[in-house]
Amino acid sequence: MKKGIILVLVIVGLLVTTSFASVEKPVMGISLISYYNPFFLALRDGAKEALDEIGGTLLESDSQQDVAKQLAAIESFISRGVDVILLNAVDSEGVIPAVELANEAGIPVVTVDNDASGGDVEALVASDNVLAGKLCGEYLVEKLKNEDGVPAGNVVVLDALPVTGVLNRLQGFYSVIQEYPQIRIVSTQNAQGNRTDGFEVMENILLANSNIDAVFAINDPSALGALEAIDAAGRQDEMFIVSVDGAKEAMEAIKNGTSFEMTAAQLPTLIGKIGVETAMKVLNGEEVDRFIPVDVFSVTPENVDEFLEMATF
Amino acid sequence: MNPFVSFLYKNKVTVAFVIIFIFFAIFIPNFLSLNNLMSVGKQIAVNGIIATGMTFVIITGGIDLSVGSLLAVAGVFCAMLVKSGVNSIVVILLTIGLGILIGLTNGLVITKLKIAPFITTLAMLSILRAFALGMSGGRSVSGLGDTFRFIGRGEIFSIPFPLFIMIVVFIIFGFILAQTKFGTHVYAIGENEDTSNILGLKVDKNKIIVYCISGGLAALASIIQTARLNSGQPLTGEGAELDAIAAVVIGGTDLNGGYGRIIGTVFGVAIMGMLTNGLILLNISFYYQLAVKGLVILFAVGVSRKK
Repeated sequence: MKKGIILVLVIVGLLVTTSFASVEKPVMGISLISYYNPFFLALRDGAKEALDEIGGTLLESDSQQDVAKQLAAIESFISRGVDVILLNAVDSEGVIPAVELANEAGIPVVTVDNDASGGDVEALVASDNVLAGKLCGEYLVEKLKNEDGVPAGNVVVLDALPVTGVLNRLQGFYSVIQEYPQIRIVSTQNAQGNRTDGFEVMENILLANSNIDAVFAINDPSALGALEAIDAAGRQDEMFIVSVDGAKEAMEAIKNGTSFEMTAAQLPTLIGKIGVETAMKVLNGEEVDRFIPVDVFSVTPENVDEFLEMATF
Repeated sequence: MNPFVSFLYKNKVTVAFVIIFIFFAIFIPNFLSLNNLMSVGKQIAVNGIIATGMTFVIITGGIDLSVGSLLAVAGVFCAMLVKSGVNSIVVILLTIGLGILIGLTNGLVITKLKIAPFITTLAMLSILRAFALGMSGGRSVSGLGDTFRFIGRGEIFSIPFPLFIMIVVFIIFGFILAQTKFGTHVYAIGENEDTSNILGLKVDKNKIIVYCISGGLAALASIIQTARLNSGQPLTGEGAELDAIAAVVIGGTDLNGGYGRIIGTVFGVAIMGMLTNGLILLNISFYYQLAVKGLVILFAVGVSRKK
């Protein structure tokens, strides 16, 4: 009995001492959009690894895509007195009250992957989506060069709801291809960023257009859907696909020599890591940029093996 | 049975609450801080208000699966009204009116078309989610200004306003269930519907009222949620019906109907809320947070079987 009591006291003591964290061993709270998407899990792992290295503690919560749950988690972080909050906003507008609560409590907020559109946010750490769009545009331009070296051809664009990330990818893409008047956009459709719609929308576009040279999809799921539609129509030799994300399945499609030829890979693990590093800078009173872009990389048949090894989602 | 043990059995929900409370108080720094307890209070308000209506429905032997989607559609409706400049009091009345109307529809379909409550409200869950998405175009309705701020963030006698509303709801509906003729009828219907019919209780009418209460309270919860988020969220409330049912069942209400009390639901809601808060603060990986919640539900219901 006595031993039991001592044991309990020791455990409680340990917990209490570890909880009084200094800035050197910070406690961070991370609230993610969804644990049902490997992208976010990879982001979390990146953050956890970076924090483990400096001996900090990561408290975590899944918002299950519900901003009400995200608000509840932030409130819990605040009353626990975390040093900093890493926020992956479910909804840029709906999350503002949560950011304001953290502001009032004097707890700095660093957003990762998706920003809050109000309240005081120290920094946003996210993929450079403009660069991702540009990489797609550049690959496409290079491949569409005719005998005279002039890029020319019919291009299909599969976009999605106009959230910032999507708009930036499109902006980057168009900034490259608008230089080449012989590249014609023959169809722009909303494929909802998912596989099912990517498939159905592409099916219809294929019926309506007898001559397509390339497809730009704003993310891998819709590109993979389009790939299935193109294969089903037997037109895989006519066109190629470029897209953004760097999902494992997309890389496998690139490796297997399908008409899926290139994806601009995001590195969520790196976003998580840089998120923690940025949070540490904020805690140490250093100035940080409001937007911290994380590099994206062009994955093509030439370098796909190297990227497949690091694929996390 | 030992009188002490039998006392514990009778108050098993309270005992479970106290055990979890003490455990968290020992192991989580700041758990007992007023700030943390009040934020748990704010967080459980939505589930508490929905679960109160759900208690009535379950005691009649029914179920209301539509409340999660109702939370979303009423929230979007409420936010759109606020944005178009309608007076706050009118917004509140119209939103609760919408909830009652939805409850009325549920009640009419269940009693007049004789479709099982599970099926009726499951269909309604789907239909309401579609309306929430359709009305908002799938995006949050934000920029409500400061009109609604108080409901989400204000305080009365230094109690957060959402918590205050929940307590008022508990008291009013606890009284209705325990002390009024209508309350007695609710139990009678759940105990035995046929006998109630023979005894001349207006079974259909009472059942319709019960679904109206559930719908109206879910709409009230949606107003609080909308104010807290300062926006209407079409995707919110997925699974909220299950949280409410879990709280009601943990609170000792019999899923077969005929037995249950609001005070049980109060503790059920508090246990669920404490777990959500405490498991995050204990630094438990999210995967296992869900498992612990499931185990607590099983344990609470399992113990209550040992009568």
